[in-house]
Amino acid sequence: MSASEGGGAPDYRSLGAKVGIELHRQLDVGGKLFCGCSTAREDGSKSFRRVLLPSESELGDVDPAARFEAARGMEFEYMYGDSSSCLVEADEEPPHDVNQRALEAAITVALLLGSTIVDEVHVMRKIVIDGSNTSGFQRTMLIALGGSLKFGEKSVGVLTITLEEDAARNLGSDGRVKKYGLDRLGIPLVEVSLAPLEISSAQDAVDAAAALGRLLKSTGMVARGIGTVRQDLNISIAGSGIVEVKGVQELPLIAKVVEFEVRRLGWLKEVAAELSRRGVRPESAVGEIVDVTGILSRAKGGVVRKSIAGGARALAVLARGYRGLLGSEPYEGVRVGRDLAAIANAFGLGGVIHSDELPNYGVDEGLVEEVRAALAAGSEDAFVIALGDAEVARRVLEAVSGRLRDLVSGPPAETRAPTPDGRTKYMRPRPGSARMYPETDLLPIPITGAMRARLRENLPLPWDRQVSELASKYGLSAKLADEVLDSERYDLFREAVKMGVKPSVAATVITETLVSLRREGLDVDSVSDDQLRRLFSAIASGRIAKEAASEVLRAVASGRAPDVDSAAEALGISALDDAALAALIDEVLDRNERMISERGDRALGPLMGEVMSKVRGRVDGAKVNEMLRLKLKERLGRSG
Amino acid sequence: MEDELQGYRGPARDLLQRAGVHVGDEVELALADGGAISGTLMPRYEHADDEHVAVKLRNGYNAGVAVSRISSVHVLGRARPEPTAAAQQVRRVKGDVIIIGTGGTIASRIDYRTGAVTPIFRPEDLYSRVPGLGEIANLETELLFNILSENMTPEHWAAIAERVGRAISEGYRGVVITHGTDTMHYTAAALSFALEGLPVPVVLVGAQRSSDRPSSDASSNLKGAVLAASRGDFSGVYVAMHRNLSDREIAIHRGVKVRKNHTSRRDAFESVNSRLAAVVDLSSMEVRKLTDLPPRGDPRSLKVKPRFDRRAFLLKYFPGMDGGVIDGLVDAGYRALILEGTGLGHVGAQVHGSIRRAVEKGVFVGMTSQCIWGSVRMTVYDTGRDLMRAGVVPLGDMLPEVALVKAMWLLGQGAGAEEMRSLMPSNMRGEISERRYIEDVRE
Repeated sequence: MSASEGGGAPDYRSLGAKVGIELHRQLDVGGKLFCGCSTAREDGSKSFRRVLLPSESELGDVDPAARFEAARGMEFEYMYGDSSSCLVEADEEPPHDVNQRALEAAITVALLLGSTIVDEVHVMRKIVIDGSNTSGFQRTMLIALGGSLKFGEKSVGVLTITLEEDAARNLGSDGRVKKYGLDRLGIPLVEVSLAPLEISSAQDAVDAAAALGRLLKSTGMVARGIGTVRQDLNISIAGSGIVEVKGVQELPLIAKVVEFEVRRLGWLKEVAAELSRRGVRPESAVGEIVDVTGILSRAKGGVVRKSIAGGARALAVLARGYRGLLGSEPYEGVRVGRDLAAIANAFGLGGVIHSDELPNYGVDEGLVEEVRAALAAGSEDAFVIALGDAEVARRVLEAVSGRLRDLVSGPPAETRAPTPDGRTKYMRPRPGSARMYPETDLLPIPITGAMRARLRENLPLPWDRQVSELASKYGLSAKLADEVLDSERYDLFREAVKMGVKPSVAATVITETLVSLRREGLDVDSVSDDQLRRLFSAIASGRIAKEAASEVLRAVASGRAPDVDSAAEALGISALDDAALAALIDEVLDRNERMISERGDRALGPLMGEVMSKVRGRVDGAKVNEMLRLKLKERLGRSG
Repeated sequence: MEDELQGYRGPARDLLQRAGVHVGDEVELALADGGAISGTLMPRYEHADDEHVAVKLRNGYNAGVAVSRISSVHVLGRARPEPTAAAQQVRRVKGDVIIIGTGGTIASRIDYRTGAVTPIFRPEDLYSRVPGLGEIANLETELLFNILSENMTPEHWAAIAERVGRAISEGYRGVVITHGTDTMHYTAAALSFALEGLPVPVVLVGAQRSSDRPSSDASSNLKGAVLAASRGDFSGVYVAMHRNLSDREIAIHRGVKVRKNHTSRRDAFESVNSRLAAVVDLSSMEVRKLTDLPPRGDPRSLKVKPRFDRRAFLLKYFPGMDGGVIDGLVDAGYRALILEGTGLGHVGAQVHGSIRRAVEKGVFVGMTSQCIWGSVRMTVYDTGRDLMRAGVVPLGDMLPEVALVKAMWLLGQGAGAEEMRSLMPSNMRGEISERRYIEDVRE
C-alpha cells in the first residue's frame, strides 16, 4: 500500500474536497434570545448539578450522538450569577417570547443574502446532551433558505439562516463532572450555513468565511470580541462521510484545519481500500471483547503491569485486517490509533494500546502472541486493549469496535474538534436529524409582509460604502478603515476616539499593532479590552505616548507585566509631565547654545532628535516639537 | 378515522385538499415569488392560524409557509405507514412495587393537536426509559387513567384509593402513583384520609419539566419515589419531588403537609409547617428518614374509605369581600366552608353576619390562614374571638387545601354537623401538628 508523501498542499480538486461553512455569530440586541438576562460575561460563584438523559424525537428515534454522550454517564455542574442567569437558563421556567430585535437581525441578514424568508418561524429543540444546555437541547429556528454570498470573483450558495441560542460556557471537567457557566447560555446567535464549496485551495474557505463575516458585521447588530464568533466546517472528499469540525474560532485556523482534514480523509480512504483488499467486511471487522487481564498481569513492569497491579482490568478486541493500519502515520497527526485514543479519552480513559505499537509498555513478544492466540488473531489482524475499570473499558472497546467497523466502508461522518495547532480531534458520531424536535413551550411566530418591507427599507449600507464613510469621517486610509470595521475590537476603536485618541492611532493599535504582535507569537487574546481601554485613556491624557503603545502591549501580552500601567512603569515610560518636559528641553538648549547661535532656526532638527532620544515613548512627538519650537524661538528672540 | 389533514382549517386545508396531499407526505411547495420549499407535511397545531402550511425540512427544521405565497403543491412521496403497536407489548411480572399511572407532565410529550405538552407516555415507557429503575425493585405498572391534574376530581381520588387498596391486598410492598403536579397535593391529602391504617408507603410523584426533554426531572423523581416505596421503612402517603435545583436529592414530603409553591421550578413542592419526612440520595440510593414516621404495618389493617362529598368549599377572604358570596354558597347547598382568612385567622366584620347565618343553618365553617406558614390562633384578637363565638372552628396549622379535602372526606363518610365540629380540628393523619419547630425551614 502507498501513502502519498507529504510535502506540498493536497490536490483538493482531484480529491473532490468540499467545505461547507457554518458561521455562528452572537447578536448584540439587548438581552438573551428567550429572556432579558444580561449577555455580559459573568463568573458566577453559585451552582447546581444535573444529569441528562437522551429523549426520543417526534419520530421515536434516539440520536446516535445523544446516545454516545449518555453512555458516558456524566454529571454537569452549572455556575451562575444573578445578572446573566434567571430561571430560564436554569431550565426552571419556560422560555419567554423570542427577542424581537434578534429576529429582525436574522431577517436583515437573510435580505442581504437574497434568501427566501419563511412566513412562520417554528422554534425547534436540537437535542444536545453534552451538558452545554441545561435543558438538553438548543433552541433554534429556521429564518430563511437559499440565497448566495459573493466573495471576490466567486460566489457560494446559502443553505439556511437560523437564529439560535448560544450554549453554556465550557469551564472544563473534573472526573465525571463537567462544569459550565450559564452566562453565555441563551445569547442570540445568527447562523448562516453555506453550501458545500468545491475548493482548489484551503484559502477559498478562508475567503468565503471572511466575506460572510463582513456581511454580518455590516448589519451593526452583531456582537464583537473574543468568543462571539465561531465557524463549523463540514469537510468531505469524494467517497467520505461529512466531517463536522466544531468551533473554529479564527479565520487563519480554517486553512490549517481544512488541509489537515483533507489529508486525514484521504488516508482513511486508503485504509478502507486496503481493508477491502484484505477481505474485511464491516460485520466481520471486530471480534468479541475478551478479558486478557490474566495474560497481561505477567507484563514485565511498565504501564500495563502498573495499571493491573492497581486493580485495572485489561480487555481486548480483535481488529480484523488492521495490522499495520492502526499505527501508520503518513502525515503528522494522521493516524487511526490517535482517534481510538480520543474515543477512550471521551470515556475518561487515558488511551488504548493497539498491537501496532507492541511490543512496548512492558508487554513483550511472548505476551503479544498469547493475546493474539486468545483473540484467534490471524497474520493480518490487529487488536486493541483498554485498561481500566471493567465497565469503562468495556464501553470504550464497544465504541472502538463501532469505529473499526465504520472505517471499513470509508471515512465515516463524525464530529471533530479543532486543536490550537490546526489539527482535529475526534469528538463524537455525527448527529442525525432525529435530534430536531418542536419546542412545545412556544407558539409559531408569523413573519409579516409589513415587517419584511420595513426591514428591507432600512437595510444597512453595503460594506464598501461603510468603509469609505469610515475612512472619510476619521481620515483613515481605505485599508485601515476596512481593517478597523472588520476588527473584533471595532467598538473599542470608537471608544478610544471618544476618549480623544487620534483615530489613526486608535485604528493602528487595534489592527496593525496587535497583528504584528500576534505574528511575533505573542498571545494577544490575553490582552483584555479593559487593558486596551487603559492604554487608550493613557494615550489620550498624554501619560503614555502613542509611540510606546506597541512596547506596552508587548509587555502585557508576553506576561512580563500584569497590566498596562505597570508595563508603562517598568519600561520607564510613565508620564512625563509638562514641567518635566520643559526642564528637559531647557537643559538640552543650554547644552547646545553654540549650535543654536550658529544655525538659528535650523537647529530645530538636531535638537528635536536629541530631546526625542530622551523622551521617546513618554511624550507625544508633536507635543515635544511644539514646545521645543516655542522655546527655541524664545531664545533666538532674546539673543537676537 | 384519522383526519389526513390534522389541524388544518380554512384556506390552508382547501389548498392541501385540492392538491390531494396528506400529513406525512413529502411535498414541494412552489412559491409565487420564485423558488420552492420541500419537506414533510406536518400536522397543524389546533390553535394555530389557517393561513400557513407547516413542513419539516430535510435538515429537521419545521417552518410555516403562507398559503398566499404558494403557487402549487407537488407530491414527492407518500407517507410511511405507522409502526404497528405489536412492538410495544410489555412483559408482566409480579413485582414488589406497583407504579400506577394517572397522567401529568411526568408522562407527557408533544401533542400535535395543540402543539403543547400533554400526557401520552405510559408507565411502561417510563420504566424502560429510566436507567437503573429495574434494579431498584421488581416493578409492575398500570395505567389507571391519563389526565392532566387540573382535570382531577374527587371521583378520581376515589378510583385511585380503591386501586391502591387492591394493590395492597395483592401483596405489593409499596405503591408509586405518577401524577400531574398542579393538584398532586390535593390527591395526596385525599389518599391520606381515604386509606385508613395504611401499612405501606404510597408515594405520589410528578415532574415539573416534561419527560420528552433530556433535562426532565421525571426520571430522577421516579427513581426517588420507587426507592422510597420499596426501601422506605415507613408507611403513609407521601410526595416525592426534587429537594433543590440539583438532580441529586429527592425530597419525601408527608402527603398532608405539602404544597406546590412555584409554577415551574423542579423543587416547587415544599413541606409546610413540618419537617421533610425523608430524603432519597440518588448517588448512594439511600432513603434517609428525617423525622419519626409510622412504621410499615399489617396489610390486613387497611380500611379503604374512598367516598368524598363535593359539598365543601374553600373561600379565600380578601379586604372588602361581600358576605353575599357566603350566603350564596349556603343557599347552593354546601355543607362545609373552609375559610382562608388573614393572619392568625380573621375575616372582616362585614361578613360575620353571613358566617353566623351559615353556622345556624348547620354548615361547618372552619378557619385556616392564607399565610400558609404558621397556625391560626383566634384568641389573640377580638375578631377571632367574635368568629369563634359565631361558631367558626379554628383548624390549627392545617393547610387550606388539606382542610378542604378533609371536609369532603368527612362529609363523604356521613359526618353530621357535630362530628364535623369535633373531627375537623382533631389530628387524624398528621395533618395538624401540635408543635412547629424554630428551625422549620421552608423546604
